[in-house]
Amino acid sequence: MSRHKRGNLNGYLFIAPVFIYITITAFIPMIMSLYLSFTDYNMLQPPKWCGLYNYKDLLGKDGKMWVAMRNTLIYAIEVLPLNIFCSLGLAILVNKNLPGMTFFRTTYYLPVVTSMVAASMIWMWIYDTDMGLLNNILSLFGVEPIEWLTSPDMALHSLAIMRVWKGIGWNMVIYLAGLQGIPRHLYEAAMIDGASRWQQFANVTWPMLRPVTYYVLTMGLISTFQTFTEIYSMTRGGPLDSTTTIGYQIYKMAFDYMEMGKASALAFVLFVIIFTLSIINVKFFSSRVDSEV
Amino acid sequence: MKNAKTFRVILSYAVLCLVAVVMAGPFVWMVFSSVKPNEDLFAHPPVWFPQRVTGEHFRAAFAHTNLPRYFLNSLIVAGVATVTNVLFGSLAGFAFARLEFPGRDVIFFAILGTMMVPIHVTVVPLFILAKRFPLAGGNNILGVGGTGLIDTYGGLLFPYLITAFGVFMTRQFFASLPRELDDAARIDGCSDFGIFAKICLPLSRPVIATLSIFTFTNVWDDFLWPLVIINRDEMRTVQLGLQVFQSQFSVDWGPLMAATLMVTVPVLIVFILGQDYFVEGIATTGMKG
Amino acid sequence: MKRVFTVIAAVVVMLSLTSIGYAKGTTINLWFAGTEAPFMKTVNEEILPLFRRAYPNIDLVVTFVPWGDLSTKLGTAFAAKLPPDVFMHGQAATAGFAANQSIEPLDKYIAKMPDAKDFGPTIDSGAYMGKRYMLPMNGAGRLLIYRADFFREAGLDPNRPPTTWEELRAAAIAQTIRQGNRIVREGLDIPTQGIDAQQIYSNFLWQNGGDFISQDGKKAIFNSKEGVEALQFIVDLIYKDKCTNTQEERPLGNVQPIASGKVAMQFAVPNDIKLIEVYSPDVYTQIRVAPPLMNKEQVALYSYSGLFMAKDSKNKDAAWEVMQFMTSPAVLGKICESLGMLPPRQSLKSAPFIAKDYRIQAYVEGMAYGRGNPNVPAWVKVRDILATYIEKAAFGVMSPQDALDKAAAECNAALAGK
Repeated sequence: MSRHKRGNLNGYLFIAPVFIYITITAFIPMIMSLYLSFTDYNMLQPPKWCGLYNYKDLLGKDGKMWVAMRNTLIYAIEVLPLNIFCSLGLAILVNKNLPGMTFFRTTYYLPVVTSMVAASMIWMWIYDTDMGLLNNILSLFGVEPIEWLTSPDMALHSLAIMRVWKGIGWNMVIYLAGLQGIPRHLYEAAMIDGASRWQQFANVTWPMLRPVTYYVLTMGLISTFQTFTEIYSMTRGGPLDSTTTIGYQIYKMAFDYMEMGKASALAFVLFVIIFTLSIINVKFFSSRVDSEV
Repeated sequence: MKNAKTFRVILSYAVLCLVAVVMAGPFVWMVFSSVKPNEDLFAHPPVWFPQRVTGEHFRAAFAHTNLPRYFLNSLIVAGVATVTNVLFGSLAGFAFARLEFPGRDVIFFAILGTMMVPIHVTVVPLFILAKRFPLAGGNNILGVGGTGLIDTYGGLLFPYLITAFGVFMTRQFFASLPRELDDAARIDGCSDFGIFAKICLPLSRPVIATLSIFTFTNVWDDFLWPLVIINRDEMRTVQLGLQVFQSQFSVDWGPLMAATLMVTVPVLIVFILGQDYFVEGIATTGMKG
Repeated sequence: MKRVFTVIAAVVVMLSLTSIGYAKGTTINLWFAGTEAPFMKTVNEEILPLFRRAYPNIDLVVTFVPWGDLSTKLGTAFAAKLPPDVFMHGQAATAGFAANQSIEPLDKYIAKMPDAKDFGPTIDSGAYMGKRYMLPMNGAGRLLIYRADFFREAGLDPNRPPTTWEELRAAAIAQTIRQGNRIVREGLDIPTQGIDAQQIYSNFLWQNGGDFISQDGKKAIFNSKEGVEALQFIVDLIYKDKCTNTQEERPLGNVQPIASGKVAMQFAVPNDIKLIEVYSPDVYTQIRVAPPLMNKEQVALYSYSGLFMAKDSKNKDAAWEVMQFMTSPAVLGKICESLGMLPPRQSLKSAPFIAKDYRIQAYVEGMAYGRGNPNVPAWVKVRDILATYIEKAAFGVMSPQDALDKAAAECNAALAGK
């Protein structure tokens, strides 16, 4: 009993610095934003309470929020699985004890450190309809030029491909760290049982990586649902609003239209969605390994 | 059997090289662009490999910005934030993953939730808090009267010292370590802190390395917060410095690429250093020992 | 050079006389918009030393804010009640700040300014509800530019640029090159998205005798007959004359579409001209600038950026001194030259950096026909709504009349503050 109590106390002690600091720098600003979401606030005048007006306005007939929501969902659905698949694949490849792995790992991390300005510049060049690299290569196979970024049907998907490129390296590092944590004897035991490589992956690697995959997926949800940078620097939401995302719209409302109250309301609508999805995520991931996620 | 293995290795390398080309392409273009004269930068048809090499862009990058000072500022901020995040983040991550206490999961999800509100709406409250910080920048105890943390290292560090991100990551990794470890140590009379420091941390070197790399990269690359909290030139960070080459209608690509390249180097160094801890088998030896 | 020096010296002497009497150590925060290297260099190395000599008692802290992040930085600063004393912004920002009593009207200061007349009509570009809030620093116009070589190729005379819509259409058709159904070279680039789309439309709207918003600032009137005709003209260029398409022709790196030959004519600002000079020098010799076009009126969009004074500034007199210094002829000339922008002062119209290039000179001559976007608090929103519907019309999703009607309805709601 006393042991258990000490465990309790230690738990609080261990999280105390984090909890206090995050309360100041994250909870309080968040609660302030939540308050602002019920006000009419343009940053120049003090906020004026307006009740649920902002939420009604956003969730009502205002078409753009639904378009943005749809785009954001499509984007997340395209980016997340592809990113996880590619980054796990690469992590397994570069986790081998073969010469040159440091080089390959560093190379795969390069997109992460390539500045977004430079990255969007070169991707605009890759995607350019008339002079772009991609269409040039495709034309060798007799494919008609594709409007990668200038067609409303293509632009969002083109951005998704670029996002996957930019993000794989990041998740690869996490999976790499995760793979290193899997005790070797589990594989040895599997091999003694005569498990094939695929069976080893399915029965050892994948289950052992569950907490890591939960992390990757949750962080992926958080970041793709807030997607802003590439939209801002490459398409500005166009053509025909086909790449307008929630994150981009929040920025526009807040700083282009000075409607901070409405932007905050949209941010909390987004918050509820992400939070719900990550809770569903927990349920899904803890179906087998309880309390580990 | 032997042949199959050789074939697999060759195949692996083929895939690795192919992916490397795609991943590194834009970065290599950046490197090449930093030494191409202006007229060759966007020649049509494109010139991939520099035909003429010039150092003018590097000279311009130094002439137009106070880069060494920006580097110093960014190094201080990213360095300090990395240490504090690893220290406090892993401590809390350990508690959330391996200790039992009432309200644990609720508190954890609340902390996780702080990452789900876009920065564009929290930046204003955060900025007001930084300005109202008591006893800083001429403020009184109530946080009135001065400029608070604006234009200080404290201000730059304000949102980074401890982040939900570090807590979440370490928690997930500590959760994946086998539970038997703790129980064995407890029977030996090890305290909670002992388990954290003597058992979990040594097993988690790849995780600590990952967290360090990520925190450093994140803080180093952040633009929005330094933008709002800094006015004076001597307090600017490298990302603010890069803005010098971007204007209302255009971008000065040559110097921008040269400066970007230099700004990228520290992040790459941190990554390469961190990788030394990604050596297969650490976990194994830890298990057996 | 010598004359410039004398002027600077005179300004310094004059200003140093007026600067006596400030409490020691008055700090003025000044935020410039724009981070162009030549601009920052000019300010830091030439203008600030001059200022410090003239005003030893004012501690001037200059911050350069990227244009793209200006509203973020100003928004947070105003929210925290710590705005800069003086900041630079575009004229379109006037109404929003003024309607919220965040900036100081400048009329009483301008009245005392000995050479206020030198600004001509540009001094009113930051006016809202009869009060002036902005001291203009630089401007840009959107004029048609074309290439002499493409003109000759198409059998047109490069010395006779199009002056009317019909001539514009004819020139665009003549210079268009197609490959099957695909346009290889657009005769005229018409932007279909965002600010660019709205700005080009404003040219056509005004040239046709229409306008955006009613005099009282409450009602959108661009869905008038004139407005619809203007948009129809653009849509016809795409679908009937097939001399342009819906693709955004963005510069690739710093190569303007006209420089790479993707388009034969485009609407450009003076800065684009500067870029062509630096990055495509061989094309530059072919570039010509046409005077503002005319259908019913001869007019083109010109907009100015300038200095604003925050209402909360604790040292308004010192702030005004800073504003006056930064817009004095010699200083302004240097700033405009470093930015490659047009100077709002009449006395700088023949400054050496303008006289040396007939293209920039054409922009300065066009200033007489310049008109600015309306100053209403919800302008950014109105502009975006309009751009969205112009794009819908350009993509053929809606007819010009329907698009503008819907846009007008939404804009009216925005103007009413909803």
